[in-house]
Amino acid sequence: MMRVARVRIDDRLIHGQVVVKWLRYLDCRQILIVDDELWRDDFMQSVLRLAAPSEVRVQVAPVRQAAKLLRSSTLEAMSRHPSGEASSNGHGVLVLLRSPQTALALLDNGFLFSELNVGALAAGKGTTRLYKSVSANSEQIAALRAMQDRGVRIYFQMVPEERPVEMSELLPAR
Amino acid sequence: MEISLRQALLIALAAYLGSSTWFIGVGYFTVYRPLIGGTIIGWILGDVVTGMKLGAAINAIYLGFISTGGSLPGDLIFAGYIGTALGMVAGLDAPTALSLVVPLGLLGSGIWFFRMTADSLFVHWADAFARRGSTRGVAAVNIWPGQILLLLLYAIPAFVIVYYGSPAVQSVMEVVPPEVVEGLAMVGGMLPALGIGMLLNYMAKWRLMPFFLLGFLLAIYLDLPMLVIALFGLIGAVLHVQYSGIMQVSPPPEESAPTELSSAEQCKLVTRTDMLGAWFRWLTFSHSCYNYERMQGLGFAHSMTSIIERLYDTREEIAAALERHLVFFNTEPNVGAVVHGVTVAMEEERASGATQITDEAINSVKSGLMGPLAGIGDSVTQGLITPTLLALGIGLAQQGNLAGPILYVLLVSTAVIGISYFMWMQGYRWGKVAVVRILKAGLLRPLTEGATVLGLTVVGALAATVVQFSTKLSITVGPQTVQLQTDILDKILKGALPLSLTLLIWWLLNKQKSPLTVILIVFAVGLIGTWLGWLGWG
Repeated sequence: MMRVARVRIDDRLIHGQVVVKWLRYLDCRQILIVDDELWRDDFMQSVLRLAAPSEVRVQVAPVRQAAKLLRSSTLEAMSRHPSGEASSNGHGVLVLLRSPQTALALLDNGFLFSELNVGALAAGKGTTRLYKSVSANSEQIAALRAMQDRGVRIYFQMVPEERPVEMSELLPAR
Repeated sequence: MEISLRQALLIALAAYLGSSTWFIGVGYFTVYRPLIGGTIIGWILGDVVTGMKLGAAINAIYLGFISTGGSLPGDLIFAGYIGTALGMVAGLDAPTALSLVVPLGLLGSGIWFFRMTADSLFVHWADAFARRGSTRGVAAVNIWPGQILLLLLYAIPAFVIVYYGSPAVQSVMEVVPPEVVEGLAMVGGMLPALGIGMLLNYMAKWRLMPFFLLGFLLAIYLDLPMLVIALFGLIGAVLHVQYSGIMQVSPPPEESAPTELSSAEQCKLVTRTDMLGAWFRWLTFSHSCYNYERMQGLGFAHSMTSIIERLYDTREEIAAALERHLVFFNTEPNVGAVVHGVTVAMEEERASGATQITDEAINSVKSGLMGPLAGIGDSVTQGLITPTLLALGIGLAQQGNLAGPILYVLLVSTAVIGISYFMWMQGYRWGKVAVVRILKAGLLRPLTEGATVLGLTVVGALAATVVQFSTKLSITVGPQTVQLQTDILDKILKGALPLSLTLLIWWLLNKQKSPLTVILIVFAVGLIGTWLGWLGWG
C-alpha cells in the first residue's frame, strides 16, 4: 500500500520549492504527477524525470489509472506530528497536479482524498487572484468549490514554513 | 563616527542599487550580498577594510540565504547595507553590530511582499502597451515603475536609519549595562552558526560531511589561508568524483537536429545582434518588475522585444507576440535561459510560416520547462556556486584581504554569465531537445557532487573562523582551578563549541524548527549565558 503524503496543486510541478522544501518536509522519495496531457508527452516526462534529484522517483499517470492506484492508499493527515518527527517510516508519495479540474476528476474516479494543498496556480486570462501565488478562472474555482462541497478541506500554502490558509476563509461557501 | 549628509545620501543610493537587478544581471549574486554591500559602505564611509570585514561577518549569517520561489527570510539590503553603515557610524564592534543586524533584516522583510504586490499593478500598464503593439512601452514599464518604487522602498529607510538612527543607537548603547553589551557581542559571535546551519540544511549530505570536518580542522589547527583550503577542497572534489564512480559521461544523444527546427535553420531571420540584445536584456532586467501576478512575465516579454521587432511587421502581429509573452513566467533566470533560446527558435520558425507553432505550442514549452529548470537552477546557482564562492570571499575578507570581495565578484559573475549564455544559445540551437541533451549528458551529477565537496570544505573552514564563542566556566577542585575552555575543551578539540553549535543548529533546522525560533534561542542563550557568567572570554 502506498502512503500518500499530500495531494498538491502546483502548475509548475517539480521546481525549487517542491524539490527542496516539500519532499524533505514530507519525507517523500516519490512523486506521482497525475495529468492526462503530460502522460502523452514523452518529452515533458523525460524532462520531469531528469529534473528531479537522482534519488527521487517521478511517475506520470493519467487520471483513471492514477485513481485506481491511489484508491487503496492511505492519506496522511495534513501536518506532520507537532514535534516535527516524520510520522512514518518508509517514504511517502507526493501527488502533484496542474489544475483543480484534475483533482476533481481524481475524486470522481474514486480517489477520496480529504485534504488538498493548493500551492501555485498562475494568473492568466480571466483569472482572479485568490492568494499570493494562486489565481484561478471561473472553471477552476467551480472545481475547487465542488470539492469543497464534497467535504474536501482545501488550503493554500506555498512552502512548509508558511501558515496554511483555508479556502473556506477566503472563499466562503455559498 | 560622524556621518555627512553626502555620505548618508550615497549610502541610500547604494542600498537601492544593491537591491535592484542592474549591473548586467549579476546584481543578485554580487552587490545584493552583504560582503559586497559592506565593502561599498566602507568605501563611502572612508574605511573600506572595516566595512568589508563587517559585511563579510554579516554575510556569514546569511550564507544559507536561498530565495526558493521568492520566499525570503529577512532582507539582505537592510542587513548588509544598513547594518554595516549603522554599525560603523555608531562605532559598534563587529560582534555587537552582528547581533543588531538580524533584527534589522527582519524589519525590512515586509518590503519584499509589498514590492511583489505593488509590481503586480504595473504589469497591467504593460498589457495596455502590448495591445497597442508598443515594444518600447512594454520595455519602459518593465524598467521604470518597479525600479522607482524600489528606490523609494530602500533609499528612504536607509537614509533615515543611517542618518538619524546611528546617533540614537550610539546613545542607547552608552546607557545599556555592560553585561548586555557583552551578551550581545556573544550573540553576534554565535549567529554565523545559523547561516552555516541553514546552508548545511540545504546542501549537505551525511556521506560528504567528512569534507566539512576537513575544512574545519585545516582552518583551526593549521590556520591555513582560505584560498589554500579551497584548493584542498578542489583536490578532494576531483578525487571524490573520480573514485566514487559517478562520472559516467554518456555519449551525447543522436546528433540530428530536431526536425521542427529544420525550417528555422534554413532561414535565419534573427541576427546575432537581436539575439545578444535579447539575452542581455533578460540578464539585466529579468527581475526588474518582479511581481506575484506574473513573476518574471514582464521581464520575459521585455527580453523578447528585439526578436519580436525583427520577426513581425504589422501592429497586430507585434501586439499578439507581446501579449503571448506577457503571461506568467518564473524560473531560475540563468539555467532557465534555455527556455528563451527555445522560444526564440520557435518564434523564428513561426514567423517563417510554420503553422504548427501555435500560441499553445509556445506556451506549453515555456510553462512546462520553467518549473523543472527552476528546481535545477536554484540548486546549482543559489545552492552551490554562490555559497561556495561566498565562503571563500568571506574567509579572505575576514583576513583583511580586499581580494575577498573582488575575487568573489569576478568568479561568481563569470559563472552566472557563462551559464546564462550557454543555456540560451543551446536552447536556440537545439530547440526544446536541448534540455534533455544537457541533462542527459551526465555532467550535472558529477559537477554537483564535486561542487558540494568543495563547498563543504570551504564552509567548514568558514565555520572555524566566523563562529566565535567560548565558556568562562571553571571547576575548582581543592586548591586547583580548572578552566573548562582552555584546560579541557581546547585540549580535546579546539573549536569544539562553535562546531557543536553549528551542528546543533543544523539539526534543529532539519527538525523543521524555523530560523526565527533558532534566532530567538541564540539570543536567549547568548544573553542569559553571559549574564550568568557561563559564556565569555576567559
